[in-house]
Amino acid sequence: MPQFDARFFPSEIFWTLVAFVLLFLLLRQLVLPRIRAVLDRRIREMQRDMEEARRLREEAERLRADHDARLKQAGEEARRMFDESERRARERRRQLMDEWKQEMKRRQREFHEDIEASKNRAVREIREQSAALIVAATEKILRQRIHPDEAEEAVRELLAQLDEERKER
Amino acid sequence: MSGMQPLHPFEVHILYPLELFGWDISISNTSVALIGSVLVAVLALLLLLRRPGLLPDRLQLLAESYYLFVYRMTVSNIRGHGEAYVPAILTLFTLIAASNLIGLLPGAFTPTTQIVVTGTLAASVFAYTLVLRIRLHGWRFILSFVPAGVPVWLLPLMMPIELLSFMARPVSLAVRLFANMTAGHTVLGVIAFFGLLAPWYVQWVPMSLSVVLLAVEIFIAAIQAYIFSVLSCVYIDDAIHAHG
Repeated sequence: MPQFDARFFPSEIFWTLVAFVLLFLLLRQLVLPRIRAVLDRRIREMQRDMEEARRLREEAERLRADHDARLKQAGEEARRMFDESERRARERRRQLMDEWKQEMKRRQREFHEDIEASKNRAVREIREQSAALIVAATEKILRQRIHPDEAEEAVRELLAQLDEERKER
Repeated sequence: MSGMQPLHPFEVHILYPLELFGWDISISNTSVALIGSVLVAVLALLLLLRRPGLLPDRLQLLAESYYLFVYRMTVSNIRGHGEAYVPAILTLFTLIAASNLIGLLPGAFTPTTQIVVTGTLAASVFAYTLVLRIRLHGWRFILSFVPAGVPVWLLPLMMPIELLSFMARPVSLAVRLFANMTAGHTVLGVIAFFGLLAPWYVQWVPMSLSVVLLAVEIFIAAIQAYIFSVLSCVYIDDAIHAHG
């Protein structure tokens, strides 16, 4: 095989090493700095973006917690106001009911009193009129000696008159 | 068939005789192909990175993926010290891959079909790992050839075997790359030759096979560069973490 011709070994060894060293230097001087610069810059940008994202997330979490706390506080306040309003309404209703009951009792009492007073007045008036009539009838009987039948007739007439008057009233 | 010379593409031709302190450094087709591979690889990478930006375009993404592939391979195989070896392993991988691939161009010479080229690279890696072992562990690194848990009476047998397998590393590294490249190019040459010899109505068979084989060779070129590089990483890691 031509590859085993030792005459060319020294130059091939030399040029292999030269090629390796040359490529190493060229890559280190020209290629690697470019790749590493752009990769490092990208990593820095990504780290900065991640840091910014982390900061924003923390800010959002803080705002959410604050919002939740305010929401909870507002809910409690609303519940407290509702309870207070309900309590006041209940109190007012109870108060109105009490007043209404008092008023009803007062009116009932006045009604009964009015009835009683009217009844008493009517009875008194009847008695007064009856007494006047009886007195008048008695005087009539006493002045005129009348036949018992006539007297009886007169009394009957008076009583009938009394009944009529009462009916008219 | 008389014109077929399957090993002809592997012959070295001196283009310009040169000497340095008595050492032959003649410029040959091998040296031209090697330096050409270096320049093509660097120019290709620079072309891909001509407008490096934070948001990469497809070309930049290709260059970055290439770098990150070698970076991850190095860092994952050389535990704890991989970062420092990235430039060297990137150089090794690029040189082998470029040499393998450039040889697939019609009429081009493949430097990695030369055993002395692959041998020089393998020997350099081996020499470096040897120096690293001695520098980090002193001569006690010899003890790392004593397998753990082996009975004492077996040591005279086991130590030479371990030592032999250690010494065989550069040989296997060099021969694997050389043999794969040589075999691949030989098969490609033979199939292409048959294609040229065949009657016109069956020429499509060897020609189609050549296209398929070329695709396989491109894949093998990349795989062999990867194997050489990853084994170099493993050997370096072995040298760093050798326990005697």
